[in-house]
Amino acid sequence: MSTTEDKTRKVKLVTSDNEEFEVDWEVATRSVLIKHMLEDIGESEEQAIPLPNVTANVLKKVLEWCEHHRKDPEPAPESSDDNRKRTLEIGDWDAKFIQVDQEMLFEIILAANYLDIKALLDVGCKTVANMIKGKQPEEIRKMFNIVNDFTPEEEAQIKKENEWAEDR
Amino acid sequence: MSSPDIRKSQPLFSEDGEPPKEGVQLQDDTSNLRATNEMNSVVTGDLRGEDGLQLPEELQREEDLLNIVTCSAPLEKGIDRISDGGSTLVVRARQYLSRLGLLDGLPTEISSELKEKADSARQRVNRVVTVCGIASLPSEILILIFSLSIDCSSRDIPHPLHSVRLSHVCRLFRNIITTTSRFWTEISSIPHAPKVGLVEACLQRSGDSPLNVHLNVYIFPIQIGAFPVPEELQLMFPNGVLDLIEGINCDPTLSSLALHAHRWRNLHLNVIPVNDMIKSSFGFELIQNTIFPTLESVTVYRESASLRHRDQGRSFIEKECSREMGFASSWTTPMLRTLNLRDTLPSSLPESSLAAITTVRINLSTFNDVSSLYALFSKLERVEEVHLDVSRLGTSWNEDQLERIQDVVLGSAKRVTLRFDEDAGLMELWQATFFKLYCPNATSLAVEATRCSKEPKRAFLYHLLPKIPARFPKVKNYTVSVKESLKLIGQETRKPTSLPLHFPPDLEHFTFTCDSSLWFSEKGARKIIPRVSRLRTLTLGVNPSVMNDIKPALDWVRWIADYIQPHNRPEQMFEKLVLLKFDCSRGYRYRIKKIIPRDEIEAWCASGVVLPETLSEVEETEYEEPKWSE
Repeated sequence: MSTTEDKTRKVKLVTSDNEEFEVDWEVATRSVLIKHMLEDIGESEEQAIPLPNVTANVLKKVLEWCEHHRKDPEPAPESSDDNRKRTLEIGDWDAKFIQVDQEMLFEIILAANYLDIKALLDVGCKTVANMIKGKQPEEIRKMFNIVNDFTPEEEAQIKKENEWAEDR
Repeated sequence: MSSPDIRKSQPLFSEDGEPPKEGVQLQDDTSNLRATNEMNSVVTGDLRGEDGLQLPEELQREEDLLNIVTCSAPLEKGIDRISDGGSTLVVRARQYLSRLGLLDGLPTEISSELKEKADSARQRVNRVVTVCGIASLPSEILILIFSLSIDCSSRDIPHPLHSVRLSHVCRLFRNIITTTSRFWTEISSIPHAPKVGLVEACLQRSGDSPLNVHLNVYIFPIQIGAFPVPEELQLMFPNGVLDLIEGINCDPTLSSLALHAHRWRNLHLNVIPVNDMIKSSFGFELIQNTIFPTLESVTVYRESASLRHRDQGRSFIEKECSREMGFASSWTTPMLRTLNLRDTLPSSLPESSLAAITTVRINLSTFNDVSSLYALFSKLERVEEVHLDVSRLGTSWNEDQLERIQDVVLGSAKRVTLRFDEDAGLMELWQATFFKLYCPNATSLAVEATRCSKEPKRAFLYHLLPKIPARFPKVKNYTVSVKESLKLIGQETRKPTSLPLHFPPDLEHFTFTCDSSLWFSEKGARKIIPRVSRLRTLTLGVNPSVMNDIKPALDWVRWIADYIQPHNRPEQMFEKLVLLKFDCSRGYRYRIKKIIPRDEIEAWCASGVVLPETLSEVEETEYEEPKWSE
């Protein structure tokens, strides 16, 4: 539980390229990793939190997301047997936020994963899933510049498997 | 001054004396070396930041020499001529020009080639970025992305084919997809076109994981005899009235799947009536007397309520084994808790299985089935969640059926959903269906109605809602969702929907959404004191289209507010009014338009505006139906 004092507190974050960001506690603690680090450091410390796996330009983008979602409720704990209906829908703001080039998109996903921001990870993964959904292998290769690296033996197996997709 | 190299470096300029500007070709090693040195000198000078363009020393000397040529010297000394004619000075001047021309052309050529190189380097960066991007994602994230993509893909094709397709992209994808069991646990086939190879691949790649099995079940008539008919009916029934029983077969994939019955977690049966017997030996006898230790849910979906045989001389099959889940009568299912049934009843399930069921979602289209279901309810001793959908109910019924329905007490039910369509069925049938249901311990209730064109007072919803407090006395979370029948869209004579006046006494959260015009019966309200003293949130969803009058909502809320905020009692529980706006441009869903705190409700009622403007579109958020927890 956060206290009123927490909400007014500032947190310093230092990126891998040594840039320092000062953000509200409420914004920074969208990241479970940072939240746990702050708990470890204790309230009295003014110590900066090092984030060696995130560069400044990516952290800036991640913090933009955290700022917008600072009031969101805590995500429900994950269930291994989650039967909720899954969708690829993304809110309007998130959809605009994630309109970035592929390099930044993957960087955001990696940063969200490292910082443990489940909702942002979801936005990134859903965006990539939407790009993949319903596409043929060749279209996916083209989209992500993936080289077809199958061996002739694997190609033969794939050809056989393609018969499963034929009607009747 | 002699220039022994002059001829060697020819031709460096054209007939008209102009040096070539582009496509400069160096002719031999000497000129190549000289040009290289001269270019180096120019570039080095430039990079050192020397002022202006610094020519190489030799060229600078030539320039200086040619600069001081005047008429007087040649006139005094005579013109120095070379052996094949022409002035030495002119040749040197041209040579100077050609060397500068050569140097001028080189950067253009190099720049053009560098530009090409930069372009391809840029493409290479993009490629490396994307390759490194997707390849840099840890497998668990790729698995998450793949599962989102597969789970949300079209159900028009067997689900495992989405996994197959992704596994054909590259070795990385294939390795992840084929070794992750969850991508192969949903096993389904196209009706009449099962792919045994695909099913076997799924069974192998899914390892020991629990399976969601989708089976196509074919039902067909089998003639076991014929009854003679009177002479006058022989024209209609030339072969007599056929005595038919129901035959039932499955996809041939059942033989492979049966070997993994211990892994079945969810079973979906898609029952398809066919006119002729399927030439297959894969009937349910393969899984008779089988133990399904992990089977948690069974879904039976029938395309129509009964197997009809329209061929001349055939009859309806009165007793259809599949409709009563006769195929499952010998199954042992210790973990079975959920039944999802469409035009099917669980009558043939063993009583011990029925007693363990906690969730029943059932969609029925004949009143006969409704009365049979009510008879079965007493056997569902532990049912906590009941969804009863009679929105496809027909109009066929008889007095006997109505009389057969007794009051049904579902003492264990906690969450109930009732769904109906006022344009289908008849008032008597709904009354017999819903007015007989008593759920004394239900804490959550959802009523989902499709409105007809009748006046509010003639609509079933109007008659049902006053009965709710007595039939569901402990409901805390109550939702009424009303949508207009598709038949009414575009009609000008659409009738409004009556706003509810009756609430269960323990109500804490009430949601009313309606996409039609609203009607608030002030006369009716004057006779009632709404029991809303425990109400904490009131959620109201409206459709503010030009054809809809939604202003009665203001009077309705004012009427409720008078009872939820009695004289500033300190213990008042009410927190907020949530206003939702129906948005057909966003998938016919409701969006949160405004949240009005308790203290501002009076001002809102007085404003005369149901949906005040929000400060910005960003404030509007998608409305998600609450998941009530116990």
